[in-house]
Amino acid sequence: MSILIAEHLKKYYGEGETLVKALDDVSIEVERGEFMSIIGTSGSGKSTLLHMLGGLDNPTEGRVVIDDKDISTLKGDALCIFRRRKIGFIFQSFNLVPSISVYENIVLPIQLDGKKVDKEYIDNVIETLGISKKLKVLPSKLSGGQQQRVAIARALASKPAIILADEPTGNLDTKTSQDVLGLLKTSGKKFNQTIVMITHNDEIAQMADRTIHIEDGHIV
Amino acid sequence: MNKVNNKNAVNNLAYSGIRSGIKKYVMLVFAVILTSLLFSTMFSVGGSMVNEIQESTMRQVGGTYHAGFKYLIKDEYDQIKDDPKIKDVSYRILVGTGDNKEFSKLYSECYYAEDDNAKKSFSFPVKGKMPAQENEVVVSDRILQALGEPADIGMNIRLDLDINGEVISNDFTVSGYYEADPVCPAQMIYVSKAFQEKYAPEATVPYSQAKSSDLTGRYSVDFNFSNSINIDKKVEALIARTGLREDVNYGINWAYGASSLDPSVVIICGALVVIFMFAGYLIIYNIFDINIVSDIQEFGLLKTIGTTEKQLKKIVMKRANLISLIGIPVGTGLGILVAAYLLPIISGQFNTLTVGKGSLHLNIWILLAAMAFSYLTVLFSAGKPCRKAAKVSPVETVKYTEAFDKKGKPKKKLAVVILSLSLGLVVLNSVFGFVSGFSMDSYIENLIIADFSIQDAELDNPGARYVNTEAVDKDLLDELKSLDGVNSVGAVYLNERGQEFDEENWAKIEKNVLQSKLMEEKFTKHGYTEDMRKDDLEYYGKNRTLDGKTYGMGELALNKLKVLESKDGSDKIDWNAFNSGEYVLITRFETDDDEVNFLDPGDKITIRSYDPQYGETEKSVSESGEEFEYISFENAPVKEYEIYAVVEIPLALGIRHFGLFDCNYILPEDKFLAQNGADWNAMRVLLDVEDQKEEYVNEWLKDYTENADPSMDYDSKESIMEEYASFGRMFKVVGAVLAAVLGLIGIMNFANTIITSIIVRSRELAMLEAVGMTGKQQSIKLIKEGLIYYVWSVLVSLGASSVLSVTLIKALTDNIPMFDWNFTLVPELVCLPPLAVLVICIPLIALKKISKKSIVDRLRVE
Amino acid sequence: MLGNRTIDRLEKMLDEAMDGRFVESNYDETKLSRLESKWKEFLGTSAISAQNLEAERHRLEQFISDISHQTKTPMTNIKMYTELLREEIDKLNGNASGDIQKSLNRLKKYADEINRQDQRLEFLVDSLTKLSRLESGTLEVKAQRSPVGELLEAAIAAVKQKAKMRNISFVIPDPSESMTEAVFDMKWTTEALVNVLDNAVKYSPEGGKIEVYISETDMYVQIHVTDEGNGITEEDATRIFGRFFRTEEVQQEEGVGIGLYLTREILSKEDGYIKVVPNNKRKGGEFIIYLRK
Repeated sequence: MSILIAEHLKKYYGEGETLVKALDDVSIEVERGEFMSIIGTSGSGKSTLLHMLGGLDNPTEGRVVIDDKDISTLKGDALCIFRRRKIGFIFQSFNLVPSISVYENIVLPIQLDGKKVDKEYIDNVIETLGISKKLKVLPSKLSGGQQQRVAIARALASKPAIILADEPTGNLDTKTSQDVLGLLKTSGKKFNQTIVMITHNDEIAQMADRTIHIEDGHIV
Repeated sequence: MNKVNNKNAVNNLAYSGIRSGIKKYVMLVFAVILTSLLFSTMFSVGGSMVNEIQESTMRQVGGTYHAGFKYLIKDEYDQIKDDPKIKDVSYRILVGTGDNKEFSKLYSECYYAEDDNAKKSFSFPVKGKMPAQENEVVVSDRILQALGEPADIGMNIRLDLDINGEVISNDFTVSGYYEADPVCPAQMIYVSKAFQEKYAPEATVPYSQAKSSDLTGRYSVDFNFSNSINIDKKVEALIARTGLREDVNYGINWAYGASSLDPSVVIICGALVVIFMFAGYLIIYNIFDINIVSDIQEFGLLKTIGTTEKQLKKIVMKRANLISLIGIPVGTGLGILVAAYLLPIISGQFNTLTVGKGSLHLNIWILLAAMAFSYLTVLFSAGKPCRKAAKVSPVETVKYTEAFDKKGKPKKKLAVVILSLSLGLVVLNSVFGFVSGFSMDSYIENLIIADFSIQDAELDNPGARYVNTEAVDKDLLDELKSLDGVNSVGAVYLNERGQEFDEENWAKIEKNVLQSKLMEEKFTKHGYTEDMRKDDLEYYGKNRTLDGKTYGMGELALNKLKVLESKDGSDKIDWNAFNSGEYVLITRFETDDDEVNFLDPGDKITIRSYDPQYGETEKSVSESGEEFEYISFENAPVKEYEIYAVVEIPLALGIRHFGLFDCNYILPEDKFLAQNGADWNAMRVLLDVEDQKEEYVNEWLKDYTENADPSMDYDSKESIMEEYASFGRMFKVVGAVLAAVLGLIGIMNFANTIITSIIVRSRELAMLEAVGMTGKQQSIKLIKEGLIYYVWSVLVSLGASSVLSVTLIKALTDNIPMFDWNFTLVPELVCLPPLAVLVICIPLIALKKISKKSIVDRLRVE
Repeated sequence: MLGNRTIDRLEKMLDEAMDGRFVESNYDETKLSRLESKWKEFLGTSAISAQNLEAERHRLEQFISDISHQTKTPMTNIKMYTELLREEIDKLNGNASGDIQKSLNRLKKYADEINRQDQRLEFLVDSLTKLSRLESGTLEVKAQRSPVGELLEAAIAAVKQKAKMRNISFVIPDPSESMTEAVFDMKWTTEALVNVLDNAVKYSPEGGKIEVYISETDMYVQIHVTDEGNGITEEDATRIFGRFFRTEEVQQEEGVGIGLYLTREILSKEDGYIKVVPNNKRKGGEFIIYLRK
């Protein structure tokens, strides 16, 4: 069963002479529990695709269905709440909230939803990601790799339908990248998460179960 | 050594940075404008007021010169006139005094004067010219008026001049006239050099060797120094330097005295400077700091490519300078406008006597000082952010934006914004708390004693030097009495000679007053040293005298006295009994805290007659060895009175010159005249008028004091009430302006901090939105953050306001009679809800603004 | 609109159901009560279907067990008879003439092939059995802190014989280096590593060298296994761990294409993973096993 279906996604910027086709008719499907990577050079449209998939940006044409819901029908706060419940984001630049502790960062999406934290599950996630000793500190006190592990924990915390990772190791050195990717991969498997990761690095892409290439807005 | 010319590069960087962040810098310029507005307003108002006071004093003195020598001869004049340290030297030569019957009430002096001397003595002709021909003369319009001539030139007048005791009558042609200043008692009559040489040839014997009355033909030389500081010392130095005789008579223009600056004014001004600098510092520092933080990447980059710390500092300072260059002149200009608006309101409350009351006096130095303070504030404020910018490590720059939000940083920002917000609130609350204590009614009762009060224009001006305590002559008194609608007339007479006591009374006074704690208090307040106290007490004891005034009062005035203790225990004085001629009233010995009777009702005192008929001319020798004449009343009759009551004289009845003791007696009007001679004129006259005729009497008095005798003035119930209402209004307006500007600064600071923090964190917010924080949740989060500032500001300002209210405001109101202290936080509480609205709205607006950009765009911004 | 109380009750019902302790609160004429009963019924049928699922899995396990067990005897027999066949051929070999000699040699080759196919079958059945037990959870992977050195020793010992036959040598880490500890199940992980080593031996050229070394990151101990074979193309790198996958060039080589899949499954049970370095990145083949520290 496909957890994510993107059909004929198009994203055009500008018009006439200056028309830029960031995405041109891209269709993908991701199975539940799959770890898929999208590989492409910078400017290939991979970030645009990820933004479409995550409901951060609206496609010019086409639709995105996540967990049987066509997200193009959602607007404003509804889309925001959908993201909070169904999508976990992992960004290149970690994007942790600097003013609150690691633990608060992790449970933020849950608390935003006013839900009770599933303590056992969160503890398991935290344990798996090896950050149980850092829960009380502020994100700025952590190394890049540790911050990204926190970001993974945050993405897992709300048990989303899909996790979208945007160059998750883009700001990290090789060794730390390995750790983060390994943890992303293993924790994804362990908690039965579907992961879509974009990267420009084929070695990193190989961590995934499946890799698709994107170039000039097309899938090759 | 040749330096690499990198000026252009630095300039370029400095200004391009401003261009790229123009909004931030507009904010900064605005902050600088507000700060310099505060300074320039204060300095302009202060400067204008000092100027006004100074000018008013100068006009009483009769000149703007720093100092002058008197009674010089030509040789002595030559001796000093070229001294390099003095300038604007000019002289006049005394010819005599005006002796015309027509202007017997005017004191006039006749001189030959250089043009400059006349100009700087406010007596240069407004029309015509200084006299050139022997028969030409320049007089004041008041003299012309007294002579029944129109204020014009060309007509002939006859002047009787008393030259060296000899009265010479001459016809003159008026070559020019000047407008007399009601403040200045002396009227000038300027004659030509030829006239002076003919009738009052220059003296040749130095004054020290001449008779003291030998004044004619002597030089009065006036001059300025480069500045007005320490004139006294400078004159002494000048005498020593030029070898002028040591006993030369010199006068110093006390308009320039530092003593004219009240210490409390100095303290208030100092406090204002500190508050303004602090307020300015808070906002400019904050904005600068925010700018530096948001520009930190730029600085890091510059450093990476080899910009030195010095150059970075230069860039920041260049920006600070540019901001000052725009902000300070604009702010100063606006400040001048505000000052122009405030001045009439403020100066109306001061008893200065300049004609151009409340006019703006712009002195380039004062404006430069205001600008300097503003610039200093900018420099202070930019200093730390500047160092921060210079210290940026290129590697840390990326991290820095994050460090900015670490716990420690916002705390500091929080403090700055809270202080800034609180400052406005506290000032507002204090000013309005103070103003709300303004209770005119209780005070004004003391002032309004009759429908009208007529007296010398200067009488109720505590700053005046020349006060005519016999201003209301018999003619005027009769005229007033016969005025239509006047029900009753109450005259107040004054004799300022002290009181003398017999041994029995003296013993009582010694016990009641001289040896009391209150006496100590009084001495301390008047700044007496231990030695002075002893000497003084010894002197009083030897002579058994105390300073004090003897008033004569009619029934109308008498009824306004406050009876404290009386012979018959009543709180009213039975006029008929009192008027019997046996009785006198006495005041108490008062200090700020307490009061005590000198003598009690029933005690008997004696009052000496000062009727001129008992005066005997006697000769005495002064300390300087000079013989002078005086009139002695040693053998005048003394009459005994019984004290009828102990009373308090309302301010509006008496005179506002106070002595150490002020042991005052009050006699019935007739008895006073009987005691001191029937020619004695009243100090002031009170009128009780039919209500319907008030308007008419008012018009009559207005006309009289404006045209017939400008040296007189009158108060009406309305004018007093208006005056005091406007006094309260002054505080309100000044306070409102102050609180408004400070409040604006506070709100700007808050808005700027919040908006910048939201813009800086736009990525963080986008990220929160990405993980599912809805717009509503973001708004709530930001409002909560704003409310932290708000709650803190409320707590801090309420606390500070309360403390100030029970300390400073209480002390202030206790010292000013027309204010009652009451604890209030209402003004601040009233401001809190609108402020809360702002605190909620500002983040929402900022959020809305950044939300216009898509999340993706915001996430992308690094 | 539903009242808050109802929403709360519904949420509580769900929570209880998730914990498996849902009971109906009371029975009355309200819709909520009816809903509770329905909910209970639904949970009941779900439980039955879950039980059915469990029984099904159990049956499957039994079935696999049976296959494993029942195929063992025939396979042993095949092995035995092949051996006998070879012995007979050897006996004949000495005195046979021209054509017969040729024929006998061919027979011997066939016997060898039968033997090899039998071994493959045995390996396949063995692996499938393990896999199914692993996946069905019958056999648990018990990860615990253990020395990595011991793991290497055991795994290399298991493939030494085979390597020797092809004249392949091992370069192994200094014993001091292998003091490193990681969290894994010794038995299963040995199995996983053996598969990787086996693979390396298989694809190494005759007389090649296999190097095993250890490196570490903050989170993982990495066991690198490199050989001098052709390596894996980038294209195959993500597919190689799939079930029954074998690259085209090595189609002829011995193997059933399940070893690496099993390895991956084992490792993922203990929070580790395996990765291959494709041959465009380096010469020869390299596998890296990541074990959680």
